[in-house]
Amino acid sequence: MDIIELKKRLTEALSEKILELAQLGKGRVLSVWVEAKHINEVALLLRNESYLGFSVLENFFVAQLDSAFLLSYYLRAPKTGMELILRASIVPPNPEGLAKAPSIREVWPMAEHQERESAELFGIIFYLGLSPADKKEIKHSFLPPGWQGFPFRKEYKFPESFSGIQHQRDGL
Amino acid sequence: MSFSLFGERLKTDVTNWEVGPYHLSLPGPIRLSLKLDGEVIISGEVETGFLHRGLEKCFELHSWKSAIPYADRLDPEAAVFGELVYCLAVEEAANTLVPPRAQAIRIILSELTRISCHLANAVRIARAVGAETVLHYLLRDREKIIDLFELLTGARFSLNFLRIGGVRADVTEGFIERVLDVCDLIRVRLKEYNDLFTFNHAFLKRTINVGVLSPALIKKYGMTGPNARASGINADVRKDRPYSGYEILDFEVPLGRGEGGTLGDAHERFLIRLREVSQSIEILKQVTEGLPLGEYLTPTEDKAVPEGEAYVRVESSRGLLGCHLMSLGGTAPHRVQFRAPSGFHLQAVPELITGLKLEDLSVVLASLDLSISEADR
Amino acid sequence: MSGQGPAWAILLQKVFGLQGNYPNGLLAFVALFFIYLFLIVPGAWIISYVDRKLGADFQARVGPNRAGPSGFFQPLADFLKLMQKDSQEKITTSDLLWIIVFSSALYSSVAVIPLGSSFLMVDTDLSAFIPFLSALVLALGTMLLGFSRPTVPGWFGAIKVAGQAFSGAFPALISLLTAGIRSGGFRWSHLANSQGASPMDWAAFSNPFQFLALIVFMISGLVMMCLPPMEGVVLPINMNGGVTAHLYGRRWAIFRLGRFYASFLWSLVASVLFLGGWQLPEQVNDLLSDSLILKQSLESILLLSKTFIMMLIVIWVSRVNPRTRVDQVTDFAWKVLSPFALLALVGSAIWAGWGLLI
Repeated sequence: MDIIELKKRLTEALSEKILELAQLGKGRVLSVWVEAKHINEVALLLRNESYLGFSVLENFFVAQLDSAFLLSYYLRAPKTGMELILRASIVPPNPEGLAKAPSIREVWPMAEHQERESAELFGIIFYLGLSPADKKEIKHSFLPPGWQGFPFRKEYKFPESFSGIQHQRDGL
Repeated sequence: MSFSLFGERLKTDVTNWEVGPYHLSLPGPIRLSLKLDGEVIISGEVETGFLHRGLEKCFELHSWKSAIPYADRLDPEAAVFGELVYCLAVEEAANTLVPPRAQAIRIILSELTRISCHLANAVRIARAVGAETVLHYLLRDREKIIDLFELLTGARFSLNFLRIGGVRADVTEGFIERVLDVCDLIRVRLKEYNDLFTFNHAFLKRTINVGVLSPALIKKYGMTGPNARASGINADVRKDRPYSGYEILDFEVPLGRGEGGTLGDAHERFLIRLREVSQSIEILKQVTEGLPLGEYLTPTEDKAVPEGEAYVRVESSRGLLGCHLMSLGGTAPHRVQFRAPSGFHLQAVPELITGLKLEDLSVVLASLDLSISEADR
Repeated sequence: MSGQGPAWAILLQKVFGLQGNYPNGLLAFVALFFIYLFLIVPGAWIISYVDRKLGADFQARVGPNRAGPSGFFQPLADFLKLMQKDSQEKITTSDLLWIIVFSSALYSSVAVIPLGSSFLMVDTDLSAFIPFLSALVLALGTMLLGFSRPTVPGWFGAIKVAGQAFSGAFPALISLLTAGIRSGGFRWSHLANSQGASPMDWAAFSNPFQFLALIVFMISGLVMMCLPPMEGVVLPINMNGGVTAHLYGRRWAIFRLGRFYASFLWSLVASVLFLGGWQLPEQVNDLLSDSLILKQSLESILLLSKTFIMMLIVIWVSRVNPRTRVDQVTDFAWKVLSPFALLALVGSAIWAGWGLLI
């Protein structure tokens, strides 16, 4: 299967959900933009359709562009050898608030730890099911318990002190 | 004095036990919460994050070139792979060509690091099993490789040697000869290790049929590298998507054969790593014989990388190491993200250790070759 | 006065040049002190030093080389350091329990050690069994050591130690019986006198079943007392931590000394049972028949040399090999050692009674 056929198949399977098709990088890997709320559906389709068969999630990448978060799922189909990048963007309600995105850990179990890491460091709640529950807290495993803020955000300011320990020394 | 001996009752039902984050038998700072039924582990949970340093954020605060030492620290034991994957990503995004001589030097460093890491993993397995003698031999031979690093780059572990567009300096005089000497030495020593340790009856008893990774488990958690190849899954980035000059080299990728035990048990993983060491020696011999002449660095003068993204992969000693780079045309990276193989391996640990005896736990964890600094970044 | 009292008392009086009638109890006390100070402690010193230097040589290292010439005083330095360190917690009843049981297991059998033809303080019909029993009590002490900590490594380690001790005790006992079959009794003097000085006259080489019994005896002793290379259960590297993981300082010194003593005792008994004991050649015996002290000393030196060689063989094997899991050790003891021990017993019995059978 080559890129053109993959484009055709994807357009057939996903039709109106696709926002944009682009090609990325030196290897010209196909990337598919979808709306964030459709991620789970699209993921299941990509994995389960026999002629697509993207059963391997190699990497889950989150980056902040202006005020939105770009979610990027790097997929691979072992049978056909094709690669695909699934992309979506989410916006947090305010710069300190939590953003919400559907979780794909039931579709691709291998990404769970990367989701957890991004959740904690970017402040994104990955919800299962159709709509986000009222989760307000993210369990801290990388950051110390009680840490405020989301370090990987661009507007994050490193705190002056934490738990009574100063982070700057005087006179330096 | 307290009367404590007969105050507690001997627990005979399921016991909870937490090990970590620091324990002799763990591969790094992780916390295991185990449920034990006597000797047998019923279930376990892994908690990581103790070694999180915010490495990926540090990249965004420095210029393209001065972020390279941070890439070293991704996995301090195998520093070159971090540097290599970052430099390849930047070179792809900036469309910089790397001269062949630099590519060859990068391959030399990669393969030497691979040998050094596999020897270190053998040391950890030997220590878990209680074999004191062979681990001293392994460390002694690993020192020769680290001396080579010091000869070329000036540093033993965190090399800071690769640059965007090549390497920092040319090979020093006598380096190539010494690399060949070390290759010969390691080849002789591999036979010694086999005589002494690899097929030792007690070692076989401890590792055969222990910690079997089935192919289904590997596919479920996306495991790569020697762990996957020991279970028969043939995937190696150097062959599937060659980079940095691997396409012209002739070498094999050892696959697990399941001889003498189960496919994918701890002994198979150990054997695979030893075989990879001998393959790395082959690669080193080929590269040093035909070392291309020419420049070792394409000067880029720290110029800005154009807007765009790049995702590259290398085959590190632990598995598929990936780097996803996003640039907005500035002097510093906008976002660098590493896809570290050890994070995926750690996910398989709870399922892997179910049903294991408690004494086998440290052997199995050592055989997975986990790097917690890579998993937590 | 000569000729009165047991042989060892006479010997002791000769050594110290004592005249007159001293109560045996006092002499026994002096003898024990003498043995402990001039035999056990220097033996521990020498074996510890040789173990470390030899082990270092195997591992391409140098070993101790700073404390004294070639590091000869390293064991002394270790001892002095360990005596200064101990846990800050107050000693509990359970700690005291294991220390008392452990120490009593060891030092109660100092009196039973055979050291020569006259230096036998306990030469009864069952004297060969007493070291075996003290080894069992040693295992009990190690188990109590495990129970003294309310943690998973402590409890589980204790049960494992007990399990391993039982599995090793059975073949050890059977091979002990095998030695007695040949000599016709379990008195030290019987066991020694039934053998001669030259290796052809040793019990181990008199018939193949006795040789098998020697091998089984040594290995099952290692299993029973959790000595290297069967010491997986007490090693701190294991995930379970081992029963000794929390020991350092004085209590660790007690444990280490106890382990040396266990290994020493077992090798000594093996030498007496199977390797000719202290028997000197006939000519030497005749030459020295009138000088008791010299004869005694030569016999002791011969016996101790055999003991140390056995200990060194064990050290050599344990330094180079990995450790097996505790259930693999017990499997080995029940499924391999025990059948061979029984085979040796039955075979020896048939061999000994062949004359009656035909």
